[in-house]
Amino acid sequence: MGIFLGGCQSKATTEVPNEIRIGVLNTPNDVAVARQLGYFQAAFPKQRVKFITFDSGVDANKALLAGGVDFATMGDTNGVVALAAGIPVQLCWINEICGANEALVVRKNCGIKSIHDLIGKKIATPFASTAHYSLMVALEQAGIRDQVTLLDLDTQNIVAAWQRGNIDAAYTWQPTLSQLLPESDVLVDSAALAKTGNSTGNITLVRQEFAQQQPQLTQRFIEVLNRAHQLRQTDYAKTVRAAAKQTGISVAEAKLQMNGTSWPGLSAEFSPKYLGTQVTVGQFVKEMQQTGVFMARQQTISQAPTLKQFDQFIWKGGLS
Amino acid sequence: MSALVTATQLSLRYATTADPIVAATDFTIEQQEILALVGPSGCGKSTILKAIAGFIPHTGELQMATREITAPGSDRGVVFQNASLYPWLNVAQNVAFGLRAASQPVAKIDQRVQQLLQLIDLQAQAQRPIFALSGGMRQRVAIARALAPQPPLLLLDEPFGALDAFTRQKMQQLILDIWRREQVSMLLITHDLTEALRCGSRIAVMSKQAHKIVKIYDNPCQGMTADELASPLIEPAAMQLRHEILQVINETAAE
Amino acid sequence: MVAKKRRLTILVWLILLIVWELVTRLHLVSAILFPAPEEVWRTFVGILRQGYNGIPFWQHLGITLLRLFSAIILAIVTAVPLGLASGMSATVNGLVDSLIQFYRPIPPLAYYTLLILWFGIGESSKIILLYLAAFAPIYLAGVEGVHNLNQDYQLSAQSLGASKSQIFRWVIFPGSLPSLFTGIRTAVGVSFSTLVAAEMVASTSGIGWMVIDASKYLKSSVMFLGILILGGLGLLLDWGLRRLENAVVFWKGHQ
Ligand SMILES: Nc1ncnc2c1ncn2[C@@H]1O[C@H](COP(=O)(O)OP(=O)(O)O)[C@@H](O)[C@H]1O
Ligand SMILES: [Mg+2]
Repeated sequence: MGIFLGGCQSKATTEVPNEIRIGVLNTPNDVAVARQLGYFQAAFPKQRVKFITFDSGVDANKALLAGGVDFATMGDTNGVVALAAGIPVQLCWINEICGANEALVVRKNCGIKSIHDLIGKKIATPFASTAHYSLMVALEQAGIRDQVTLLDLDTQNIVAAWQRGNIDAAYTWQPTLSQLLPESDVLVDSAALAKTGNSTGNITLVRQEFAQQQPQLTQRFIEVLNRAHQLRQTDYAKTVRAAAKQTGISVAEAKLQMNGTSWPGLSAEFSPKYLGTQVTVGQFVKEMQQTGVFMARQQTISQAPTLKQFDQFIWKGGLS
Repeated sequence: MSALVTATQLSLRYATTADPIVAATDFTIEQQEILALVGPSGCGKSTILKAIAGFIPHTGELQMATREITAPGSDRGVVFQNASLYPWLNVAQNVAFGLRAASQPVAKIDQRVQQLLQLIDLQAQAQRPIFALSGGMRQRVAIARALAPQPPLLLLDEPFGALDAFTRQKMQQLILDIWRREQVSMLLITHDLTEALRCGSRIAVMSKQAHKIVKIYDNPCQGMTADELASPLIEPAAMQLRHEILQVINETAAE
Repeated sequence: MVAKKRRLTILVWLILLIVWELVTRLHLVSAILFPAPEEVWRTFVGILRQGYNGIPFWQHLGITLLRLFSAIILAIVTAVPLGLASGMSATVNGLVDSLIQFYRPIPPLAYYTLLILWFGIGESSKIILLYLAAFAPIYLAGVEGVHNLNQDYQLSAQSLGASKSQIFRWVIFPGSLPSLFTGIRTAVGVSFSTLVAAEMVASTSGIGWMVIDASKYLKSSVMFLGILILGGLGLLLDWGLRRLENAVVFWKGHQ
């Protein structure tokens, strides 16, 4: 585990910080809803809440490593990278479980009917993302991992490459997906992969130091996001509107993206189904560990963290 | 025998200057002579040379062998003060430049180059790069290069101005030797009166104020050594001429 | 002098290595931020043996060099003639110079996205990006080379009877070589520093891509390794170019 030069906050251990820095993705998720509806201000009246938008979990990880943010949302694959790399962080929340919002699509009318037909084709995906992982799983399940060409493109470039006809298929997420959809067919989506024990989702990591020194604030942070999850149960339309407004997209677009995801909520998350309890390891955690094993086999991380390491990776303050 | 170069009412100016640098001057360069051109710095000597070389346009008449000069050509070899040899070519290649330009056969080029290198006594240096030569050697190569296409006229603009006194004397001797051996006329610009007296068949004096060549003297001293020229006992004619020329230069300067 | 300088250079690198080793050995910084030298070495040996991302190390290196050299060669072949033409002809200069002056200061990354839209995600957009980065310095060196050429070189050539095309081949082109080489060295430097950016989009190979990919998975030892390789490669390229320059432009620095 890393030790930092200078250890920035070694003296003021118990002092309550006057600022909380949150790394966010610009997607219609629970953070966007809570932010739009002022839940953060309500929960942290004494703190200035600062949001920093990242393009990807990769950048969020770098910021966590550099101590530039206290919380950051990212794909769970980036969480595995963070754990494997030994960044001093913990997983404290599942923002959403990916479903139909992430999918593998192929060009319409090009004769590709199943994953097997992808042999020899070019498939693009943003590397190190949940989509990348899901794609690798899908290819491995079909046994054609080594018979396709993978291209590392970010979402805008996927659209450009698709329009130019440079790629045959792409595993990506909304809203990029709907930009490809009119002229494409869905081969498989993350909901289907979740059923085979390969769920992916977006998670929030907290800096370990912050979580240890400020358990109350961390707990409150989780409750803020849980409020958004509960709102989705009771008033879906309002949730969508808030998310759309915050991320600057149309309500229809936000709805399309959010329909594909599920938000478990606090009590479900800290249960055996997801993050586990004090005595049991959660199913989502087990699947994350499998993700780690898979990524280590692909040599994207040097070593797969053990289940024990994963269990310790979960911040269990949310249980008390 | 008609003159090799004839200037009649020759006027010269640069695009950037309002007044003419040279105004309505008349002179000739005869066949088989060395015309030495002296005058104060900045009076327009080089400008006249450039006009004869065809580098700058003129008004009035300027004829080379009865043809008006309009452009540079291989009938007028030019040697600048700093040799401006091509540093990417070796000594022999520099000398051969004009011959290659005229697409002469290789054997003939080699022969002429050997002959010229012998003339300037640089046979041993034929394959050396230019940067390995001394200043005097470079000027000799430049002279040989200009002579190679056998031009009837050689234009030399203060060719030895940057050399030390000892080397300069040897170069003056070389010029005289070449002049006697090759069938060539020369315009030799110099700010060194002794050089003019030693080399010139005639000496033209240019004035800055008058913007023209004011007088041309026949020179009885051509071919004398520097020592001979320096001694009034040996050569009163040189003393006399030197005095006269200086007087003309001073007079025109005083106007 | 030279020996002393070399000793100091080696000393600086040794000290750097020792500090690096100490800092990591004493765990003064996190291993993800600063992997130990031996860790980087192990990574290097591992990648040499097994490749990176299933592609052998030499293939990564090869594709990177291929992209770089195709771009440089393309730039030389086009920018040298255009630069020289622009230096010699006011018409050509008027036509192209402002265009090149306009695009030159734009950071290549700014138009990379456009290049990808126009030329796709394959090799062509990468090579064109590097090509554009390399083009301007070589073009400018061509213009400069002609402008700074000793005026007397061309005048001498004209007086030696050289034709326009001979003057270009024998005087202007060789005379511009020193400047062109400086331009090419700058171009290699600029392209080289654009390399990582070029390999950032839609690659699955190349040393630059390796660094980018490693950063996505926070594999800092691979990032360090890639950076060291790029640095070493840059030094090696410049050293090779200097050797070539000294051989071709042997007169440079000797005037
Ligand atoms: N290229 C040029 N453009 C404008 N003026 C020039 C140029 N060359 C020379 N001059 C001017 O012409 C005058 C005569 O110069 P020049 O013929 O070189 O004198 P000299 O060779 O007698 O010393 C000087 O006043 C000089 O400043
Ligand atoms: Mg002069």
